[in-house]
Amino acid sequence: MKTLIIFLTLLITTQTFAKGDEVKALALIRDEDGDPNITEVVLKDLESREAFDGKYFKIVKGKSEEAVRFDAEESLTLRAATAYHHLTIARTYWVEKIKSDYVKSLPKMVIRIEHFNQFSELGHFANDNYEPQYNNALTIPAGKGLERRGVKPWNIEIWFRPSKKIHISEIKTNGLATQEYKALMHEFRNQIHMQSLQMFLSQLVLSQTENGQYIEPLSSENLIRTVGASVIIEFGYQMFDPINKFFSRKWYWLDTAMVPEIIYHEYAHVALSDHLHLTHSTSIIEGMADFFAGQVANSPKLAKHIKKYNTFNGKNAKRKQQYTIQFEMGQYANTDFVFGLLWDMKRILGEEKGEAFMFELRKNLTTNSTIRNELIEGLLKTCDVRCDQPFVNKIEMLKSLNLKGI
Amino acid sequence: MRLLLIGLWLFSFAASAEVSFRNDREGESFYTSRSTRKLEKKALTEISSQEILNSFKNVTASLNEDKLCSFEINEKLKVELSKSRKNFKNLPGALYHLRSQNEIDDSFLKFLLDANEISSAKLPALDYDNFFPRNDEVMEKAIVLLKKFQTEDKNKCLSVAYKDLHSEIQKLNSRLTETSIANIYIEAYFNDEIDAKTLAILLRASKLGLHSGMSLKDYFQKIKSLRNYYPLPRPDEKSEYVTKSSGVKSLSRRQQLLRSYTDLQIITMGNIIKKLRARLEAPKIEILIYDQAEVSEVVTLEPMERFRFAIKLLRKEMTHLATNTYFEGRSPSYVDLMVAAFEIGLIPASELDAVAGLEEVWNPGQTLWQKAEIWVRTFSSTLAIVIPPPYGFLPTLGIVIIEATVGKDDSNKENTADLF
Repeated sequence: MKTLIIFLTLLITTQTFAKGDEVKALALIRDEDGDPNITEVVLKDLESREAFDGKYFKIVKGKSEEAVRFDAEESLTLRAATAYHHLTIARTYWVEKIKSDYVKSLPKMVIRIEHFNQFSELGHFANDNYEPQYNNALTIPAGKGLERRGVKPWNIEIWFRPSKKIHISEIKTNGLATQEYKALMHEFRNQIHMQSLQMFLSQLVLSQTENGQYIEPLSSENLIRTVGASVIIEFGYQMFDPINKFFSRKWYWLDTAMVPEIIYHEYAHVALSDHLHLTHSTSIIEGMADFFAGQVANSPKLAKHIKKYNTFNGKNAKRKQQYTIQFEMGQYANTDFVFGLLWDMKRILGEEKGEAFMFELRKNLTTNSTIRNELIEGLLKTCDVRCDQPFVNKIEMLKSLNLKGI
Repeated sequence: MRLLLIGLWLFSFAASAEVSFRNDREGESFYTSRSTRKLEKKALTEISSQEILNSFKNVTASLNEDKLCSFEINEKLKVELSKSRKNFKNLPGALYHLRSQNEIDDSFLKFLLDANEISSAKLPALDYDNFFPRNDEVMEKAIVLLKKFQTEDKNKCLSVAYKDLHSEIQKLNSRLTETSIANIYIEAYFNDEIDAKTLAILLRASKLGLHSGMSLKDYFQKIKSLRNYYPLPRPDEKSEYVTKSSGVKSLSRRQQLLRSYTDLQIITMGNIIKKLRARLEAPKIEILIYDQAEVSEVVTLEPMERFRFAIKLLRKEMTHLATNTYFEGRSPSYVDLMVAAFEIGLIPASELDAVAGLEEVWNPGQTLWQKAEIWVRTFSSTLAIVIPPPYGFLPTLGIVIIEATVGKDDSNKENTADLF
């Protein structure tokens, strides 16, 4: 009897605590205008009252297996809370809106923040000294471990790297954006030269007429005025790279655990991993993850306007860009071309139908799919099954894809 | 013997089958406007919809497809309508109502409206000029023809009689223009050779081009032939696409098609679109490369290559139509092909707009910015010279910005990553 009374008391107390005591923490969220704000949020589905250990996510630091405690250092708890909060939002989206049985069935995930080790397929973590990783996030596939070396099996995890300031000289870019500006500059420079020449020639001709005798095209004053503009522009064009370097940002960093859309992106990799396996980064799986990140964020722009934590360019689905064959290559996997393409397809199919369509699309893709072949085939095949008017919708999609230069 | 009689009976039945001009393709009428709606509404205040429909049904029941005459139909319809409502005069209103109820299509409506306009024409203010080339002999012969038209051809269908007259006058001198022929009519009237009523009819008929184009009978035969060869799989389907303006002579796209092409030409055109559709849906297209008699290489087209290949092949077939003996050098437009395909039911209405939109691939429309670019380019060179430095670079900057924003038309640029 006594045992029963004690048990009932504990049960009631626990239930009361669970219902009455919401756990709140400071996390970064976006307000209605899309601006980042540090604000208090309710952490849902927590199983622990002392650490970031919930029903679906456990936030740990680095290689640790212990959840980050609420009373840990402030910057760590901020990152843990932000990651936990947005992962919960992402999971809710996949379970309740997309109705993914796969996501529903996923076991609790370990989320590593401030983690700089490289991934090892056998050993889980590469050695601490082996090329530490920064300014990135990674979703790793499950692994069987290596029993004889004491490496336990692991499930799918998301790793958020610490941010580190790096100098612009250390960054390898694909140079696409710079090429565009340089092409514009080239065009402008040619136009100015042509204009100066036209001006000079017209003055030369006018000076030969009765009313234009006062014009002295070869005078030093006139030459300076006419040719001066050309000289300045030519100087600017030749010095484009050093000038660009001088005025552009010097230091870059990316705190992935503090950017909501990156969190959604990484979770999308998890949610799509039933068909798009997490072997390596390609345009297709990055594009698909971007698309669903945009859906969760309800925005075609990812990781933008969050300068404190992200000094790189974000992604924009509405950016007009033409297809180039380079987009099929690994080093261009993180461009926003596929993101924009899928966003455009969603516009053609309609908001609601588009989302379900993209989810279905994953069944017709693999990690190694190319844009120009398997992605397009996948879109057409999915439309045969999912579209209300397959023939009509396929025509609209093909026309849109044709305009993109594919 | 019994079988022969049954056969003859069936034959006679077929020959006297009811003539129907029911609209089975067109959406909202090309002629729908505020004024036509007003006329229709006015007619319905005088006579009920059912009475109009019944009257028309009675008229069509009595028609013989070998002797179809729009003027005669109008007269019969007037009589039938008068039975329901004495002195009913708003025939156009009744006709618009028949169209809105899909009892007739736009082409048939136009035949009847034109016939009504001609037969009820009043003499206009005469702006007479000497016909050219002036020839007394021509005038004499023309007067004989005109008198015959006025007196002897009353049993003929007016459209047939007028066509014959016009053709005979044209034979007198092939250089006579339509204006000259009208002047011949007027001169004959001034010389009291024909009365005012006849002149009014002739002038209106000339203005409406009654001598050219197909007759009601030809139209009926064409439709009948098309429906025989290609019974409509979706007879209740209507399309707004075919009733849009063709841009030619105030005719809709469908009217323009049926006027300009024979049934065989329409069938040929429609089948090109049918093939296009099949190619667009094809899951695989391959190019086979032969080494003597054996295939040495197979090149499979990627999805977008298949798409562009289908369009290229369509354009090739469109161009080659001109060499087809049925087309006698004519090269129909893509719109004509679309309307033809819909006419014979090879493409459903729901797909018409999408397939028609494929023309943008090879014939893209210009955006506002692209149009503005042309003007900026035209004037900025002058401005760049006229405006003194250092401000002269501003118009140049404007061109560069517009080009960067508008983008270049790369449709003709060779893309080495694609076969098509």
